[in-house]
Amino acid sequence: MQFIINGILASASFVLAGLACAIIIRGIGFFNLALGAIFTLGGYFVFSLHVKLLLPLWIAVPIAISLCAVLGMLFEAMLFSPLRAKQAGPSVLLLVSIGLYIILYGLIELIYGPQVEMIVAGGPRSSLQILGIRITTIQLVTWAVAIAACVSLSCFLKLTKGGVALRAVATDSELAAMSGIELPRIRMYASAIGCSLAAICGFMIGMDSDLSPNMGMRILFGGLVVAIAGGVDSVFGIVLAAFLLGIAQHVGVWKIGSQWQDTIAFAILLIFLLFRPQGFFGKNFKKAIL
Amino acid sequence: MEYLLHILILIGIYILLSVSLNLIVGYAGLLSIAHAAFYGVGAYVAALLALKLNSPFLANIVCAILLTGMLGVLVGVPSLRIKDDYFAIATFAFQIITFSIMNNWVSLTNGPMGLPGIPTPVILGWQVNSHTDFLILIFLLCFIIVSFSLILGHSPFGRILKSIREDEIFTQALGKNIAFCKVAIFVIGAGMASVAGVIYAYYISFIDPTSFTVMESIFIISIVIIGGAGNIWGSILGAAFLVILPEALRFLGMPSAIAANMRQIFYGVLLVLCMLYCPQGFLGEYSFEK
Repeated sequence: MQFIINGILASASFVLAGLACAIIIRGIGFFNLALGAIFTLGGYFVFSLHVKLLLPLWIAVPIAISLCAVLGMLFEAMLFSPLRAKQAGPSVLLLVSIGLYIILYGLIELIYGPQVEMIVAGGPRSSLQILGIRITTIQLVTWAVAIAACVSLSCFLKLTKGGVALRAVATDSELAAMSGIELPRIRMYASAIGCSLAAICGFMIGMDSDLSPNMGMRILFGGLVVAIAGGVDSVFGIVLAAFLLGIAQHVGVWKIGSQWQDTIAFAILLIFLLFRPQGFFGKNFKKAIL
Repeated sequence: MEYLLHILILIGIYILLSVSLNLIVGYAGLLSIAHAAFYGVGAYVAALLALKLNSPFLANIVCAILLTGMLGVLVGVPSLRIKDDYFAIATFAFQIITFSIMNNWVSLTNGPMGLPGIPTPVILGWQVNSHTDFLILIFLLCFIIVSFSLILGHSPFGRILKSIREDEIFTQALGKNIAFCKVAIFVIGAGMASVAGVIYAYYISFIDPTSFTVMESIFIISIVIIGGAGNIWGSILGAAFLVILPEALRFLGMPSAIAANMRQIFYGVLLVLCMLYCPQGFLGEYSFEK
């Protein structure tokens, strides 16, 4: 029982990572693996501002989030859109984003060193006991943030003009462009939103455990699994997929050992890609015709 | 002198890997980030056979090719259903799963401790133990595999692959069996990569999972892209270029702590610049256009 509850508690960060990945995948039209480095940077920016420059968290976190959003928009403007103008397909963009991830990862390790860093100094974490189940404060805060992100993102996508345009671009970018939506601007929005969500997620995970230069790749793995299994265009699907992944990993830890977590996540990803690439509730789309 | 021979042997191993990946990426147009997985499985099969059964080199290389070829089917089949960057992510998942099996199935692979003490190969009475002997062996294998790839590339089968790359539906309309061709090229490419793995295992005489990570896959794909997708000679040039250049960086006298990171950043920058300004690489004929 504790494992299932732990799985559900841990899935809050998967929800955040999944939302970030889904917005990026659908909004800019390919798997941007550089997002892995943005997760890491979200944590490390807060670390620099809060621990090194001694700014309070309520100033450090918004600055870190906006830095990541700006970085995302810079990549979009300076790399991805010139490449699209040259007729580069999604595979090229994926390769470029891999190159970008390697560069950023190398820079992070050069600047901060390979060792593990903490945003909050060690020591026992405060925790609550509810009905015999142990919950740390950070886990509760992460869930609150995840729910807030889900609600605001749903409202944005359903109610605002920009959100509707973003969904149109996600469904069919050519048709959207023909009906007068400015693709470059929408892609900038998507990058900014996706990277801010990624920064929040990296920061929350950094608070919960610690920071290391390669943390982003693991978060990205989780995010990709959740985004694909959830069907990249449904917020509800993503929450469901996050539960599935969280519970599967924690039950896996209990049954076969913690070293198999990545294997479980990727086995789920492969199964979905093979049998249901559109996710729980998605519709068929061009890249995965069944 | 030994150092020079070592570099030449490394170039030979990367020629085997990049030429075989070029058949998949450059000829068939399927972006696969799983080549290090095949490379690793080849190395592990040969090492385990040599250590546990003390079987001869030639038998091991045949077993490795057969087993890895079967694994190639597993990766080839998804390519029938999912496309572009979705397929790349599926191969990525396969790579991670293979790595985590090598790393965690301790009773078989000895996990992160690796497999030490692989004996020197004996081929029909020829004891291969000095650097020069290995260089001759790898040269022979490169010769066989490069000629095979060149013949394959110019054969009717190679032309079907190229037409799948250019327009899959059209090729199918001509009555070509594209499902068979796609899976077949994966089996061939995987088998060739396993040859590189076998040689690597015997040459270093110690293997551990860190030689077969995602980064290694990305490195091999960088060779193919920078050398030029769709051109065998391009991959040979790319392998020589990308293996020698970081060695040249070593002579600039960089402290070893930052050298590894600088190398990574260097590969990343090279990959991004290549896609931006010269998407066909040195000698390539294909650049993943839309």
